[in-house]
Amino acid sequence: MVSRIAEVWQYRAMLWSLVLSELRTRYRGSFLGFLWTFINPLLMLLVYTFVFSKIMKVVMPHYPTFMFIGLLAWNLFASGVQSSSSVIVRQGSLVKKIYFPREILPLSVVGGSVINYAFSLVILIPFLLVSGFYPTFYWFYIPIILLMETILTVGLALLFASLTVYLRDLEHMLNIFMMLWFYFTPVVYSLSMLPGRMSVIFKFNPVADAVLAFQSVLYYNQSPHWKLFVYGCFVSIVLLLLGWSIFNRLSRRFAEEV
Amino acid sequence: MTDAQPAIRVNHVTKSFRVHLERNQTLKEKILYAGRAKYRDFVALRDVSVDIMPGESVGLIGVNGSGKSTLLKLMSRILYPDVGTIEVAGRVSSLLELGAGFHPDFSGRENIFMNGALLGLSRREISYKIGEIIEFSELGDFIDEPVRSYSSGMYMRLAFSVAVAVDPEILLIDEILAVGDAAFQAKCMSRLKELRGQDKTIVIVTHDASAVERFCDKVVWMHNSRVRMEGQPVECIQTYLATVFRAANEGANTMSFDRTGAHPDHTNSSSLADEATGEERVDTDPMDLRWGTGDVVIDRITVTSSMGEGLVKCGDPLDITMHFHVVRSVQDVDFGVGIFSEEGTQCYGTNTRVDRHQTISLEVGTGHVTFRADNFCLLPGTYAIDVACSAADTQAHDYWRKASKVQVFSDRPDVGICRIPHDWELIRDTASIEFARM
Repeated sequence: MVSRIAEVWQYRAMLWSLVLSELRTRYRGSFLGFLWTFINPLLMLLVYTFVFSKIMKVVMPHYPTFMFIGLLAWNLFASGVQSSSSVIVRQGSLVKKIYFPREILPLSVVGGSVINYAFSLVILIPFLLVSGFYPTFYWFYIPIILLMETILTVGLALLFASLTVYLRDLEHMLNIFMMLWFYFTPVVYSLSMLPGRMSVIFKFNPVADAVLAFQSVLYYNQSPHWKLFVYGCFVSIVLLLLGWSIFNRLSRRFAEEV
Repeated sequence: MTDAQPAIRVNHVTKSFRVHLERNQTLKEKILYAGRAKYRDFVALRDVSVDIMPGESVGLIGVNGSGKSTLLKLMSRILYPDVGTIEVAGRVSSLLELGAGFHPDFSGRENIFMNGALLGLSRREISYKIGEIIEFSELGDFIDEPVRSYSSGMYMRLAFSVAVAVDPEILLIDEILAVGDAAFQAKCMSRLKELRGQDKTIVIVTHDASAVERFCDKVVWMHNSRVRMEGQPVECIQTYLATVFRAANEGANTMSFDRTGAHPDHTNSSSLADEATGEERVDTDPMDLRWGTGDVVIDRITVTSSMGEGLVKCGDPLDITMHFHVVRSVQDVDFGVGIFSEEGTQCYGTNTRVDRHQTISLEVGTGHVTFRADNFCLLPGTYAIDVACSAADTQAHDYWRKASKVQVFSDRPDVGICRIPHDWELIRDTASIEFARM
């Protein structure tokens, strides 16, 4: 395992180059180009604000802020896992022709999602300031929460990336599954809105832990609920190890199956 | 370096692929056909063992589908063996396909960075080498244009330039020696020689027998998923070429899944003997291809060299023998042969009269006549052979078009129609001349 990590590290130039080309090609050819990286979350914010404040009339102070914080965290996870699930097949020509640690491919996808998240902070932070949320010391938790969520995302990305090679349906099933998962994660509502016992289920959801932690730090101006957070870290690491070992086992035949 | 460890040790490796007859990759199919998956195993390598020592240049040869590329992919860890182990000691760079991972929208320069990264170079290493890479590629101003706008030759140039800039201890190369124009190919070859001079271990898969012979210290010949022969380049390549062309003549090169019957020592020796007596097939439409009075009938033709029936190495002796029987006695006849290329060009034609052989008169009975070439100098290709027995007034007793065929192969890449028997003589006047192995 240590040697695997060392090898991935040795190929960091490739990882970085894949992340960059992914970011650079995503909006290539479009008129606004790279600006879309910022416009996307901004438009998303406008749509959700309109729907939930004007049509659904949610009674929660600064609801758009609350929701936007959770939504960005969710998007990091969802886009990372979903896009990873097809990455081995998409990059089949590389897999068949060149040796490199296969982990690089899903890692590059998740890396792209993390960087996108960082870019969307450029929208989120001014929005927080405008809405009256000023920086506090709790903001120093952000990198740690981000790390925990990244670990979780990488674990599931490795798992689905390797499984999808053998079972192509998974990519499409994942779309529906992710939608369901989204509504089981307190992004558009807060846990306090749920009837008593129900919130317990949510605590087993590791993505919810990450989202809740972001909300605590940015919205409620608190430190994350430490029990939940430790639990989230634990689950993330377990999923990472599980995903990685399955990936390792399955990656031996990638070149034949893509 | 008495007991040096091999750079690459392939130890009793077997590798098979599942060939899906119907691809059951969706869930529905997986469930429906669970337990009776429609595939068959194709054994690409069967108990293969090869040791490659550090600093050796090894050529992997073999017909298409013989397992040589699979072996190379196993060495580069793209595939993993089912049985057996592969140990590789040293930093490996594998060039299985030039330009894999090139991004058409990016410029040549950007692609150098991306491709270098794919081959395991760090950004700093690439920055350090980029001048050298661009210079080697000779792409000039095009280097800042998107790769999309490159011609395929330019694309290959760029790819090869990046590939050889990687400074590995072990270099694995698949079929990429034919890159760009002649001048660039020479440059690639000299770069490879330079690497060989630096004691790099190099494994090349190629069909270019002459390149292997010039470049490699050792040849491994793969045949039907096994190592058929391993050793000195000249020896291996000659046996290989002879076997391959013989098989081509027999139409036995068809690929087959089932290789269980292919024993490693079911080789040329036995089949050679079998064929010496082989009869030639008569073409399906004899009317167009054969005419004459029928006073003398040519029964069959044998075309033999030391390589076997219907096969000769350029420059070796070849015998064309006509077995005939005489129906009615004839006076003053001649026997002739004509040799035609695949395009129908007559490469050579002669007869006993033209060659001022003594007058031939035949009584009823049988006999044979042999056209014996000491140096069959036509260059590689398949040639049709016409034979004839004619009277003095050119009236044919039996003219048989395309009576037989001969396959010529060569271990030298000289070009043209025939190899003019020649020598080179180099005389030193004033210039100092040094001789060295190419």
